Amino acid sequence: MSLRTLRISLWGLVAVAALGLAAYFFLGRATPTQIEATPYGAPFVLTSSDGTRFDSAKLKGRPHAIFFGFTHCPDVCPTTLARLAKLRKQLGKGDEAFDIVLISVDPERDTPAELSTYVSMFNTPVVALTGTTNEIAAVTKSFGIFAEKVPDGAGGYTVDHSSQVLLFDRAGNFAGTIAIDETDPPALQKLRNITDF
Amino acid sequence: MRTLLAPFAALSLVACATEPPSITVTEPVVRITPSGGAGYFTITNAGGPDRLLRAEVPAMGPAMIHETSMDGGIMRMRHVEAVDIPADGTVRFERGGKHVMIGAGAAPLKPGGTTEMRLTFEKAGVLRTDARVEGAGGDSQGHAP
Repeated sequence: MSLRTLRISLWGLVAVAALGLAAYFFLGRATPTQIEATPYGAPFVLTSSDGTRFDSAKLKGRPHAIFFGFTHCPDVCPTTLARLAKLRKQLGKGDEAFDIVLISVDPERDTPAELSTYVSMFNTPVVALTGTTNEIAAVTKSFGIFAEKVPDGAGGYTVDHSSQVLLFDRAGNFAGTIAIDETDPPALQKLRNITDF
Repeated sequence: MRTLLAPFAALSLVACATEPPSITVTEPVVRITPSGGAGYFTITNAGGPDRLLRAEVPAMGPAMIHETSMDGGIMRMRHVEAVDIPADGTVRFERGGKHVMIGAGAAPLKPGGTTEMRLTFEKAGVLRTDARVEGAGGDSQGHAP
């Protein structure tokens, strides 16, 4: 065997291994058996966009996708919410299939009224929650969410924050995340997993 | 094939640093939210290098160029002073990347229409384009940052 053919066959092996790993991550992770039932986040009471108090116990028995964001976030937050709305439509089980929950990481600006106007733009039911700075800090901490106010360069501020969508099944068990750069097929499979019974 | 491509390769070397930029802006979109919105577009340059200094939507509030980046799952948004437009290059302002962060105007824009967008370049000057106005729940095509 010449060095050249040896090199080619070795690279071939590398490619096969990479494909195998990719298949494991993309396919393996999406199967229901791989999902661990880990308790995640603590129960909370926040304020809903209709101004009423919202107890997380209301989510019991309902699969849900929690996303942390804020209404003054022009790029990633609307993109994520619109995507969740689109995926829920693609799932074809109606708006009741799973709840889309937005928790504000900007409680100073995100009043219930502000949240209400914001979520109405998505033409789909969204549970939008805000609270006092302390309440929000407690929730982000319990869900392991990073959120930090930073100057926006024009006298205002923006909020850097964890961007992943947290998935919970009907029993309230943490069932994985959807990353912002994840393609639709695995994201849809994960949503199918929390809504199939 | 190689001989076929050679003239194109030579052409691509034509634009040098001293040549004026030749800029076109395509797919301009303003996606609105109650607090303002975000502007997206593609800049194609068929000439020498330039820089984008400002992007504004007169019908809306103050605007600035921002860039979203991902850092271990954490979304960070930063103000960018100016954006280099390389010679014969394409720069995309897109979801999850560079975008114009725009404040709310006196009267909210309606999705479905168009609104003027002004891009100010160091050399090419002010370029006006009509941007499509899209609601927050509109085109949700995500983009990998």
